[in-house]
Amino acid sequence: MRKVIAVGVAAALLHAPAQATDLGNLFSNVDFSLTGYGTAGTVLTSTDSAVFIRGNEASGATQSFAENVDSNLGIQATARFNSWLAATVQVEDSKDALTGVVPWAYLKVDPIDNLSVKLGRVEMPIFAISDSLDVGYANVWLRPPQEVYALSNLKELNGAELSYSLSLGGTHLTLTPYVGDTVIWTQRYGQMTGNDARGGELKWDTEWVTLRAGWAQAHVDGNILIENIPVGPIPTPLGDVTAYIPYNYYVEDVYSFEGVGALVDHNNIIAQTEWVKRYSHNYPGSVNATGWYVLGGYRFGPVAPYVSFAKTVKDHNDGYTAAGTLSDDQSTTAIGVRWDAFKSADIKLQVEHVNPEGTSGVSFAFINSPLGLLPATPAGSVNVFSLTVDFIF
Amino acid sequence: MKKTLCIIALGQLLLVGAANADEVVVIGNPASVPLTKEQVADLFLGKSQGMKLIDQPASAPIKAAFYQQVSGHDLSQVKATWSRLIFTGKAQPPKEMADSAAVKKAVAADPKTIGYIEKSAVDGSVKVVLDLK
Repeated sequence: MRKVIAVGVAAALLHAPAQATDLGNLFSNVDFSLTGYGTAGTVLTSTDSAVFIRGNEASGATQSFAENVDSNLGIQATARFNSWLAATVQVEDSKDALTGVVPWAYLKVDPIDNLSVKLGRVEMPIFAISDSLDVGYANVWLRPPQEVYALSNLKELNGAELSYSLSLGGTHLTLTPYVGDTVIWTQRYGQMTGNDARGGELKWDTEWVTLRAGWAQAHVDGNILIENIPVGPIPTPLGDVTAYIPYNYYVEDVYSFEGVGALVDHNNIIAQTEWVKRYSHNYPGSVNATGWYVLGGYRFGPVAPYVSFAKTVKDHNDGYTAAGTLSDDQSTTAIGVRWDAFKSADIKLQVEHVNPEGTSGVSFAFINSPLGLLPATPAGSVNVFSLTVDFIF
Repeated sequence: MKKTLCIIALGQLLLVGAANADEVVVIGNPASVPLTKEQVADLFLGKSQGMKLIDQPASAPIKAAFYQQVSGHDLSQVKATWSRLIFTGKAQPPKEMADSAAVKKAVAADPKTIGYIEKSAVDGSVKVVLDLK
């Protein structure tokens, strides 16, 4: 939160052309700030039979420590031109393919009181904590419950987001509709375009409760690699070989997402719950799923222990094989603690018992095979130990 | 476990210490209207906008006392709240000044500004908009 007023060089650079082009007052009083956040962490699991990941990461933890699961670093520059116009750019280094290099880059205009319009790239408010998901320091948990937060393959929007806030007797009602384009990314099928992305969030804040409901959809469109088809055996001078021919498939779909949530922070008690649903119009068997979690914690001064339970289930087991699915069934019980040990940094410890219920689950990386990327099914439940330090600067 | 308990005890001692500090008042420009505790809490926790906020440095005991009295939150909670708002561009954080004299000067100069200082430091250049007794 310490505001680092940007170095003279940057100020001078922007200031000089401003005077030259005679833009007058708009640039004469620019308020710069440069801030950042980061997480340094390590994760260890009880199995080598599957790789534990967060979100859409391609690699993660086994019985060997992995640092990439939760670690990230973000830097944000904001230029505030006057009371109604500001520009923000955020750059992030993360191993999750869903998080781009630039999660935020927008111009924010506040034309009237209580109304703000963001133009550019923003994070879609799909979940209760979508916006600050990557800022570990902002949250009590070490890692969001993957049974809910790994379900969405929508994240960044290139378009416009409008936010209107209404004061109602000491409480705040905020409506946030948005439209634009996006990119849909799945670890297994790679990237597809998401056109006509649109959605909205309705949020009600009191002094200690936040209730929210959100909805989002996008038209998905793209060629995806379903699997490599084995051909052969083909006789060659060196003996018979099997060739694999990539089988690409054109996908067109409407992908949507809805969810409700409640956050409570009162008298040192922390409680959070969310319930979400993922739908596909054309491929319900591969995509449709329901996820939910509950989390409870208590603040003893700087030490906040918490416990959570999360579960996701596929909604349509209608003959689609596990190999065709985006994610499968899983539940996780987690206990953890956040300790605000330093002025601008915390230390977190989390122990999880992840039960993929005999399927490939949600939190495990797909594995390379001659047939392409295939789900990996862990041998039974997996215990996961994580330690992170979150900081802001 | 013993260490954890010590830390908890220390945290509570700090809270008690902060509450005993000099009485805190929220100040505005001489032209400003009185505010309620809820309004001030909303502003300083980024729930509502429309005022320029002037903050004290983290090292000043009055800072912890102010946030505790107005919102019941300790400074690490306040920091976590603001980190969420800053990195999503939802709100502009309060501007930190060096001390109460600097806060007073900034508030006196701009009618859209509020800050907080010790009651004993109030003079004619600013107006008390909320007394956190």
